[in-house]
Amino acid sequence: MKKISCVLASALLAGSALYGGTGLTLESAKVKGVASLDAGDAAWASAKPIQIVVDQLPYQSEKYTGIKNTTVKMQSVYDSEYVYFKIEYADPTKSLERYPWEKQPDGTWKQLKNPDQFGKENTYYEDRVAMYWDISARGFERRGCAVACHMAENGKINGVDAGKTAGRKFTRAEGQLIDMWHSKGVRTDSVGQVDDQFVNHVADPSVNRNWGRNGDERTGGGYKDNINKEKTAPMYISSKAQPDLFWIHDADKAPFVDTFKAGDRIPAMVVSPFEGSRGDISINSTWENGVWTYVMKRALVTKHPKSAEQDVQFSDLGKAYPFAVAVFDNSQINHVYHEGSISLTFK
Amino acid sequence: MNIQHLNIQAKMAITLFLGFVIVATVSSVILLGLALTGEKSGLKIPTVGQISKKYGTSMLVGSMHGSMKEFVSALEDIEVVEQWVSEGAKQEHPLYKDVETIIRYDCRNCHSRTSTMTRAIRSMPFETYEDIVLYTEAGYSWKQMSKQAHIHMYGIASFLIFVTLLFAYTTYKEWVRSALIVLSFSAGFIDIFSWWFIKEIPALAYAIYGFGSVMVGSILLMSALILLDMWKLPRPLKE
Repeated sequence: MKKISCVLASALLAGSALYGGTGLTLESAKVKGVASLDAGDAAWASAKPIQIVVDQLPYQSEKYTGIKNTTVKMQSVYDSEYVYFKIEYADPTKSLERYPWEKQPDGTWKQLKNPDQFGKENTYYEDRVAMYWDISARGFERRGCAVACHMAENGKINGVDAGKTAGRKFTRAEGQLIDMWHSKGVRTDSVGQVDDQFVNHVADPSVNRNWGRNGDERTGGGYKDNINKEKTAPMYISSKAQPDLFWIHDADKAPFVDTFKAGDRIPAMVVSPFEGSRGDISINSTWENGVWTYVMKRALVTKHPKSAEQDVQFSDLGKAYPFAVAVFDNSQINHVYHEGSISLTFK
Repeated sequence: MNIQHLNIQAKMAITLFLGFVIVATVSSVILLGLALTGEKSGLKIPTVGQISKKYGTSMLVGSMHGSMKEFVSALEDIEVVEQWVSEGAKQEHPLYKDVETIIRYDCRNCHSRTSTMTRAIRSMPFETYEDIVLYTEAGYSWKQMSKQAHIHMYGIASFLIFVTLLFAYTTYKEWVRSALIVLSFSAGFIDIFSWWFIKEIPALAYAIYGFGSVMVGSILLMSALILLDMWKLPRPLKE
């Protein structure tokens, strides 16, 4: 009889194991005093981690060789003013070289690119992580970020000519909004910020080139291409020579003087911190031993003129806030995501 | 000759075979429960209503209630599609515009001929009215049912014959052996054929539920009884 019980128990376990994992809730733990952007901060010991399997890709790029699945470990803490998120995931390659300029043997300069069938980059790009927060998007709680994802069918999205793109983001109707926290390794992490963006209903490139994707309001700062007026060479070099530098800080930029030899590379991005709503999320990112670790920080409640429509507001700590996470491994738009949403609660 | 007289190697082989059968049976119950309830994990027991929707309504609506439920943005959208289907699924119907929008936003990323999504279903596109209407017929069509019936019946019969033959050689009372053998085959037969006719007779949802449970229960029971009989300790000798 004992043997039979073992067989039945094994059968049930084997059967159950086939269908595991859903309905994740991330509990943000209250810290005494003030937390920090330090991934080693003692505050994280009190935060219960969750594991999020990201294993879905929106499109199969001819040239995508990045992560097709990984597990994102997340923790959250909050203090009286800010909420913090610690995100860790395995990525064997640290990728921060975004369209670098390279001097050619004939003395000309060329931006390195290797576009795929949709004209999107998967070779010379930056690692990124993104969080989507529901503000008022229908179905977000059930479907997560997929609710705003629209893939092209024969070059059209929603009946509109979408060009060569694989897909676009927009919500279903006016007034439906998603807050988008977009950590860009080169363009924003380099200045300690997440690019704070939002998604609305616009599905017409003549209204907005990026369809439903928008940057939050900014009053200054930001990143720009390091390219001359003729678009033939870099505009600037860095006054601070560092071997592992993939961007030029605006404060360090110096006029481009070509004293380089064939094969030398120059960053293609000049960066400075955003001012205004677009720059109100701070980040500390590190890559070590094949693992990216990000710590993000944002005010529980933001107070910009358009905060209500551009930012999720953690104003009711008794409420659950649906969100989704995606990882970009050295790719322009291809990303690894999970189905459905995760709930953030405060305890 | 009975199963207790087999050598140890034969008993081991049968035990392992029945282990596979039990795991497969439990897995199929879990899979069916998840597909019918639209849940993603655990052992979910579907309701008669969910079974009725799966087999008695159109594939489009049945899927939205079941395996595709997680991709539906708002559950009230299923009612819109259901109403449109029940009222003839015509392109001129006032609800078709809403149905098209629901399908465009919730289904078409995967259900298109050119989908690149991880779970693309290119063979079942929902790009045009003509594509969609193919899945609005209530219940299984003759073609779908013939396909489902032959796959399931060949599959079930191929392992059930081994289980029932093994059970036939146990030492249980003759009527117990006969009853369970007949019950397992006949329950499966009634269960599968009820799928075919449920769109005409909705009460057959109870038959699917009941006879499906009897089939599963009898397979598990026979497997357990075979193991028990085969490995039971010899009775102590009487004075």
